[in-house]
Amino acid sequence: MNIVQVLVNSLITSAELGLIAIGLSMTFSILRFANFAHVESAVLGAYLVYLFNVTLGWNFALSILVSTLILGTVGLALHRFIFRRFANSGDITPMIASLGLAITIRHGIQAIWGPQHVVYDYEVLPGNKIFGAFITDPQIWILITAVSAMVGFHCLLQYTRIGTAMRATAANVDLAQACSIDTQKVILLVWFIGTGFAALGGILIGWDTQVDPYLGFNLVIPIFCVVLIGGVGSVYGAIIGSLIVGFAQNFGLAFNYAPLINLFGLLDLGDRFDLPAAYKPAITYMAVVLILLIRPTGIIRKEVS
Amino acid sequence: MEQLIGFGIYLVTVTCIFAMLAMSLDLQVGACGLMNFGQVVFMMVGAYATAIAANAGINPYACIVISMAVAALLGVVMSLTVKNMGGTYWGILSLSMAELIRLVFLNERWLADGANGLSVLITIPYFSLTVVVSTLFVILILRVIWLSPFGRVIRMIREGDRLPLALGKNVLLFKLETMAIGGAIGGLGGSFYALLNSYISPDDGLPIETFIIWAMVVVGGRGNLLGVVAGTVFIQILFVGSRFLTHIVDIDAGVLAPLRFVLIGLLIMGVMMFRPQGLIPERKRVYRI
Amino acid sequence: MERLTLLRRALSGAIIALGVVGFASAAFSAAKGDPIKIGVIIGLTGPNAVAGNDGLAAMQLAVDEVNAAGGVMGRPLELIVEDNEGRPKAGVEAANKLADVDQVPVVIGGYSSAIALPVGLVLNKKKVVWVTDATTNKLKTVGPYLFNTAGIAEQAVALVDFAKADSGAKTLSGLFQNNPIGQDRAAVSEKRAKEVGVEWNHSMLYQVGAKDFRAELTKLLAAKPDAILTDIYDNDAQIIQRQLYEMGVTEMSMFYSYNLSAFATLPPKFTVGMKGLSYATSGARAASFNEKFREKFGRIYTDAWAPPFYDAVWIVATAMNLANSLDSTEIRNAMWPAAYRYNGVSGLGDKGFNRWGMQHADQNAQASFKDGKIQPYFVAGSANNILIFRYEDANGVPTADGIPLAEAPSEEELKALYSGN
Repeated sequence: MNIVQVLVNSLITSAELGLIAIGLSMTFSILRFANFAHVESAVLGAYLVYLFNVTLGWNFALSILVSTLILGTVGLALHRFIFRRFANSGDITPMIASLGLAITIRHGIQAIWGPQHVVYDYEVLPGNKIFGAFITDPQIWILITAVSAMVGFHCLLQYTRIGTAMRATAANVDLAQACSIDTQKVILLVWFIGTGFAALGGILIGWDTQVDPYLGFNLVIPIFCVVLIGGVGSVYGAIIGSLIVGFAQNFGLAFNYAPLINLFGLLDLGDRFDLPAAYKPAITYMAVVLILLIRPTGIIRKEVS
Repeated sequence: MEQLIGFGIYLVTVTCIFAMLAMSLDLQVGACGLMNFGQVVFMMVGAYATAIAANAGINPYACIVISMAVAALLGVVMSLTVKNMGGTYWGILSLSMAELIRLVFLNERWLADGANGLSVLITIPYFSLTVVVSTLFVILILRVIWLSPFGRVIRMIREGDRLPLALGKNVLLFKLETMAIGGAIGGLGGSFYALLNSYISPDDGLPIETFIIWAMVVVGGRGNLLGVVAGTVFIQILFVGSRFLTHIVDIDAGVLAPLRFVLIGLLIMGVMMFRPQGLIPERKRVYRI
Repeated sequence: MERLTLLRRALSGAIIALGVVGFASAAFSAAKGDPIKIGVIIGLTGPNAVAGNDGLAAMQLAVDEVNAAGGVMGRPLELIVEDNEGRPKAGVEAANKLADVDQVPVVIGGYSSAIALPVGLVLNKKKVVWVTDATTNKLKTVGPYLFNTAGIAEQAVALVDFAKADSGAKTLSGLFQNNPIGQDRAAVSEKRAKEVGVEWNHSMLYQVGAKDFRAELTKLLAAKPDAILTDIYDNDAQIIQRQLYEMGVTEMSMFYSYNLSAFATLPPKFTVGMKGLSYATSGARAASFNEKFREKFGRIYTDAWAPPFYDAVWIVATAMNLANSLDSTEIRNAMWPAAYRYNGVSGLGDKGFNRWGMQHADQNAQASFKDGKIQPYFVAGSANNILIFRYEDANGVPTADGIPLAEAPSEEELKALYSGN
């Protein structure tokens, strides 16, 4: 087994999950409900880039920029017309509303663009070879974006006034309001950044793989797993969660468990014990069970201050 | 005409089965505040228990009891992981446990023929009637539980662990009991599901089914049995009724099929927007201590 | 082997002749009057949406042709289409609706075995004919109203033989979907490999709809098998080929696919040298079907199970004409003679049902990709690229399952067949 390739694969998987998980974790902590439509915004963003880039023939970078901004605005509209009215309805009602919204967006996309996948105007090439492993340009961009997002969100939350306001709102809305923080403004900003950033994630994943209507549907559960493993509201948590899931998925499959099963030489039950690929999705769920049983609020505990 | 009545009976039966699953979830979420995102696992495990027991030649009624027992036991095991975990955290944990169980059924062909699933070749006399009567019985039991001291305590737990702990209640034990009862009802529904379809496969236990059951509970009105039943009927009408709507509109079936879901999604969202507590909300009682 | 080839030729000649007769007899004049309705249950949304839409398109093409050729009993044929949403529960709901409300005598559809099985059970109970393309071996056990117009998994052993003969492979690996068809393919391929003395590495069963197959592919390639068997569908095909290509696999000649058409719309460089079985380039009418599909829908289908859906509509229409009745049991009894006469676009066109209502033989063409197009492929030193699976005993005599029936089995025979259930 080419261990460098497994390492690179793990990093790419982690970055792809992390891209969407960071935004979801932040919005989750401030909006206080599980937004199932978050991932569908990612798919909508990816399809808008297809519209601009392929159908209308725009420049790829420009398409990404416009699509991200449009989705940010869509986020504002969703808040204004749908989710604002759930301010006092607890967390379950908006969650089910977001489920309805997710169904609507997903199938609306299929009604417009059809069930077949689409790809961007981009020539797929064999990856660049680094230390014997292949990594492609889109994958490098995904890594760069994920790292910059991590740094960017960290700086935003720690070193800016609005970031302080966001953290305060996440910790306690009433207290934040009492400290004359305009929580409405904070929530609008969170919708804009969160949805726009989800779109960017969807676009990059679509660029690296393909865009189809079920892109989000197949990602939504792993991404929620990542967010809750890491701890809601923590940027580092989302990063750590996606690293755990990404590495576990790739190394879990690559690893030969024979030494472990044979108790390091005590038994001789055979020399190959691999995890069947059919159990790959189980790795994520095992990680959730193990980690939450040990740390019930995720790896990074939310600071309540 | 006879066939139309047959379709009506089928719809009533399947709605009753899902009403049971929804009421079981409502006991966990609406009454006790346990955010179970793995609810469908009770149905799947119940259905598989019936299928495996039936193929081993066990009496159909005994199969139903076995299903309830197995699912109740699973409920107990799941409740052991709750501890003091926050709502959504345990939600994703329960979803993970449900998916792990489904993956075992999917991948272990020796256990239940893997993805091919199992056929269930037994029936019971007056099946639909049995399902309807069982549903009424479940409603009765849950109503009694709701009004009982036990029901008052779990509703207290819903609002937070602190008060019941201060009153000296063993919160974990109450959660365990709630999950056991919820599991048993879910297992009953699952057993009936297997008997209705004569078949069960891992695809019947996909997470999407859990979210549809969630929609039934929340759209109907969590914490209100009548509401939950109404929600089940509403969602069932959305999914089945919209099939008839598609005959009226004359557009390509490949476009119509996703548009049907757009309608379903919008209506779920619409109910939530205009009736945030559900179609028939919970009636809050005031207790004087 | 020599004897078999002769048998094949003789049989396929006869089938083509019969097919022409069957075709000509249907060609009256355009259909008039109230439409005759038959049901369709297929996945138009959910994980099988691409295949479902391809299958539906193929059926609509067949319906148009049936109606142009005189329809059913002089009346036009019409489809009532229900979406199975990729959920067994929705499929069963649709089956109950079609049988009880629309009261159709025949329903076509399926694709996903986990849905085709419960739907088949419901429709059999209600004595409605269910014609499906699903592929799990379990379909045989459902009941006498179930027919299958595509080969079931146990019949598709040809790919192992093809890969061995073509590459001289000593070790094989598999990459299949983790669902009924994929699990059956894995089991059947592994069994066949052992029979012909090839070492079976492992089967990678992947999750349908996932976006990241790099872990599976890295492991698949690391085992260094001589050849890899695949069974990939729908939207997964592009991602898997792309991720292989990005990992430096720019030449795909070690890949043998059960479902070559899944790659038909991909950039040519993703499929360089890839080989496999083609279900729709072998029959006499296959080429014209492909052409007609492209003409009507402006695209090519990417699912190998679209042609047998087209055949299903034609067989049902022929059966209804033969039965000259809308009674489902009479139509069922006419399904055997209808399929026996009909010359289809899938396989070699020979669609005869055996006593179970399954295909009596599975016929595929060896094919490979050249410049992104599927071409017939001949193993070095062989002039034949048609692979036929038949149920036969050690002496090459067809067993009962390998005989296409020209007439329906009697009620007693059918009862005896399914009495084991």
